[in-house]
Amino acid sequence: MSSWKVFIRGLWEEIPIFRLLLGLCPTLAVSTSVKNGIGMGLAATFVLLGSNLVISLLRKAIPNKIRIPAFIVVIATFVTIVDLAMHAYTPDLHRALGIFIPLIVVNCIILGRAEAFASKYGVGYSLLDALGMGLGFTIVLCVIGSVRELLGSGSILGLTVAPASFRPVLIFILPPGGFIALAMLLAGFNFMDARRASK
Amino acid sequence: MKEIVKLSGILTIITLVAAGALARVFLMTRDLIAAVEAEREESARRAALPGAVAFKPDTTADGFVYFRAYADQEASGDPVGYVGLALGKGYSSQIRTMVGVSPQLEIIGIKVAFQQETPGLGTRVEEVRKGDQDPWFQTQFKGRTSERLAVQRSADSNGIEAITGATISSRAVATSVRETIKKMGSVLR
Repeated sequence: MSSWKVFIRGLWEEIPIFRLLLGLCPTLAVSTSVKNGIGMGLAATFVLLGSNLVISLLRKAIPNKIRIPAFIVVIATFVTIVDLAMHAYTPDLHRALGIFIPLIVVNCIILGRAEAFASKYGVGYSLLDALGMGLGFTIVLCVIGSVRELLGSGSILGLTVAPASFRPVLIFILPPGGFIALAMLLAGFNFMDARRASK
Repeated sequence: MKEIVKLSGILTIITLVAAGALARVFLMTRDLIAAVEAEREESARRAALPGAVAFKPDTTADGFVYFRAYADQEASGDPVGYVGLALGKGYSSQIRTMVGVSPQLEIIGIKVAFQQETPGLGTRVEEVRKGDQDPWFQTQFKGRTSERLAVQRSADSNGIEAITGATISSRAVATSVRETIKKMGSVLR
């Protein structure tokens, strides 16, 4: 498998959320705005890079029977580092994401890539995989975030872009709207993917 | 038996290294985080008592924390009001609320400074409605004394409208505010 292929998979073919259908809980909770989506995506990408790196380095040293607790310890350590760093350096974003930062530990994308990839491949490939998956996750969060922020608040990245006559559809920034937006975009993604395949 | 020792040993090494890394990062960020939280509490005090710029802290014999609020930086003259720190037992966290009162013990405003309640339920104590400046749950407290602070279902001048599905969080704030005013009363007497 080429390096490029390893990286690019996370951006379409095996994109988290839309294709892997992982990490849906934080997606629904955090995609109420583009800014939150970017923040969460970058935090999760950092954790992915760190955990994939360490788990790949240690893949021959961790016995199979204890691999899950070992992975969790590594992931939880990186998440705590991200939590502390965000609290100190980006307090407003930290407050906005709130409890969903510690919840990155149970974001299935991270454990999923550790189990499916980093524990089996070398460091270089694992880092590329983490980068691709992390960016894919961030992009999808931004796409869903744009839809929900635009329709639910009339803004993008906090800047009002909708005309004054636009009445925001509040449900889009509430949980039901998250489900609806995710479902619509997922259907659209599947449609585009099917057309690509049939060409 | 030997396998268990080996497995435990490896896990122990991993967790020790993790603990070391975390301790390092914790020490690096501890002061910055303390500064962030101190700034948050200071701005909560200013939101609870608009117009005041300097706050002098004090603590009573039984540990009640309050602040004398002054309109100028040098904190001269008489306080324009007081801010009491209300501590409420929320659903999943201790809710810290700054309660700004006039010298006559009328609530000028409250500001929740810290909470870690359930997202979407208890966190709504800080929810700001579209078009508003301040959280609707907290602005209810303006102008009241310790009397009309009972938590109830609907909004009227006799009580505080609870957050649907977050009675415990709502009560934690209201009860702690009421107790704080009583304690402020004892302090000022």
